[in-house]
Amino acid sequence: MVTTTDYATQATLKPNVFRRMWTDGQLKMLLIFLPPALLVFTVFVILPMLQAGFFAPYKWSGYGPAPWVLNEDTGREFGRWVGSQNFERMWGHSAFQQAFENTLLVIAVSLLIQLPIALFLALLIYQNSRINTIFRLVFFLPYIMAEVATGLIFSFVLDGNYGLSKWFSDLMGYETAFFPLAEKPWAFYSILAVIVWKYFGFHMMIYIAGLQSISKELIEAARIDGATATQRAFFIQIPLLWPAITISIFYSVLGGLQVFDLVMPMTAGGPSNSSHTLVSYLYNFGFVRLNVGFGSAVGVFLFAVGVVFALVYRNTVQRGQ
Amino acid sequence: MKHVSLTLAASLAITASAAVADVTVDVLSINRDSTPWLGLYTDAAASYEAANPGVKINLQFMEDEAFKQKLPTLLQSDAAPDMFFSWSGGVFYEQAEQGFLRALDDATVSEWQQELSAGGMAALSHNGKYYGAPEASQNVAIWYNKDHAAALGIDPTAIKTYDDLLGAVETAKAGGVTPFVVGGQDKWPLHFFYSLIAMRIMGQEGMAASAAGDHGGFNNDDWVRAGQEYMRLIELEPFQPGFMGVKYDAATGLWGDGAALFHLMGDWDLGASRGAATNGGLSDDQLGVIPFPMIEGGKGAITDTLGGASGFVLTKDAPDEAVDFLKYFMGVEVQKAAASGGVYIPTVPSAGGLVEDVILKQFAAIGGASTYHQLFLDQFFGSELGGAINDVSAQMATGDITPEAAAELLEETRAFQ
Repeated sequence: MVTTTDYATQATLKPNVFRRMWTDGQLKMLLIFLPPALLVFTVFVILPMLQAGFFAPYKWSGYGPAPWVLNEDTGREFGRWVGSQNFERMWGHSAFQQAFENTLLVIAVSLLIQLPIALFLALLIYQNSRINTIFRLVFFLPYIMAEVATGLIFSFVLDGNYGLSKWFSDLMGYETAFFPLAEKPWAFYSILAVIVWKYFGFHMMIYIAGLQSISKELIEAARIDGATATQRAFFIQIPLLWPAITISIFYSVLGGLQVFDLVMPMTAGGPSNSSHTLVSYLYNFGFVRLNVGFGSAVGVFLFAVGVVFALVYRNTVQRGQ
Repeated sequence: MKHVSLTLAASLAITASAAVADVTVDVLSINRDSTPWLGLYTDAAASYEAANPGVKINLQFMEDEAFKQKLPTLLQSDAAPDMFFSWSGGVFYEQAEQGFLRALDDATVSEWQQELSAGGMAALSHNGKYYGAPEASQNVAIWYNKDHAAALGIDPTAIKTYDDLLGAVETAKAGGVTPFVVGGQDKWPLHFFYSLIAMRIMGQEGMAASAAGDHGGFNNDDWVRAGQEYMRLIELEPFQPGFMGVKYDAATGLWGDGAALFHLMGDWDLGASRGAATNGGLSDDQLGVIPFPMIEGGKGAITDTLGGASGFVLTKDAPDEAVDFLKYFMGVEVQKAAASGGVYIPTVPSAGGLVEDVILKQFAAIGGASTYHQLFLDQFFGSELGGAINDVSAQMATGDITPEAAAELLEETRAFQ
């Protein structure tokens, strides 16, 4: 039961909180650091997102400040209102359907192949020792490399005219070299393999940090009770690691929705638009083809998928963390 | 003290040069900051500056793709150049329609038409207004490797019909030589095949009708037949292994290394293939050029040409000095230097005869005899429809779309555009 005194205490709480924040410097920090971050976030994230929403119902080449602005030189508006046509065309476009499917495939492979590999390796090398440090460095190195550089390197590696692919084909005595990036069934799988190779180290590091925070006594006790390494992993370490795993899944899915830099140098979305992701599709069919309205429609869809996932995930899997 | 005086001297020098250069003309070009283009451009700028004190020419270069991406934003900013390179076509039409370009006045147009190429001027005009001056003429033709042709017993100069060409492809395949190299990943090299076949089938009128949306636009018998004829070639597997994973630069390197009998490409390929090849590329003696052959029953002619019509156009706030420099930059004197220096095939009629390079001469002859010059379809029809043409050219090459579906898709894209 709430008494009158409780209300009085609550009423004085707020000023006290601010006063305390002021005296311990928190409020000052907030006033100094928040506005620049908020400004940058608004200008580069919020505003473009809103703009994309407004541009999506227009056929617009990108010339002029906005599609609805009157062009004084011509007496017409820069763009043309097409309503939902951009979205309809997007849904009906086979390249878009393929790009969407590919994006889902990236997410599936990240969750079902990349994260288990990362977890397995983390369990092997999480303890501090010199040799484990070397392994961590080696596994983490691909993540440090720039995406575009990685894509370029693999486009050479997988080139049947000059690359490792040629060397391998010659070694195996194949009559014609293997060109994985030129073959529709293989092109996107090659990209997937590179994605797994490049990002597993990042997730491994998240897991290593999580594993190191698990109390050594707990593991020791289980060991004394006769638990095997597999039992310790499945019944103690992985359950205690769950918060780290949920974060890693979150990054994987959102990262999967944003794959772009590896696709462009490796296949540029080809052969025949078979290896586009949603973002490379947006870039090629929106910006390269001067169809900013259409690109915005794709952007709105991509944004909606990301927001829906984030909200659902935060309110279900990550609830209470 | 020495430091201070040096700074003072430098600032005086800057002030002095600013005082002399009253007007700066900013010229934005695609990637031509390598020889022999760069030499031609800087010489032209220097001689113009010498003859016109008070005018400074500021040449800027941008890699082709970056140029395409940045131009829309650049044209709307304060940093817009006074003139820039243009491939003509749909993007140029959009820029003109949206009022980003400066139109030439009638007197200037009629004066320029006398000296420069009237056809090239027309390529840089839209809705009756002229916006720039033409530079190089580009034509696409079939290059052949004389060594391979001799070894296979093929006489490429005897190829007059499409069936002759398909026959040569089969002979090459049987002889273990790759018939064509192509940079399939870029798609546009594949669209040359589809475009030339379509041009031979429907001729100038058919192409104009497609652009206007007449006779079903792109969804008609001519376009379907173009796809079918293209598929006849594709079914012979004429390209090098892995052609869909190779960009133009790498493909032309393979061509320069002697990897194929034919290469369907423009005149610019001469320098490009030699630059990309591992050993300097094929010599003039090893190279030959033939026009794309005629298709039986087609309404076009073997003398119809596909190519570029590039030049420079003026932006809306360009000063009069920019107009004057453009006339000089694309004018007879500079184009003659370009022709004799083997830089490009000039559009100015009086400079055409000066081309000395034995290969460029053959292209100049093809261009000179042109009965109808079609701009590259991926540029002529604008980014969206042009991109779709590139897409279906690649999709047919990988067997992902039928000629009928390709024609339908193109028409749907045209109608939306």
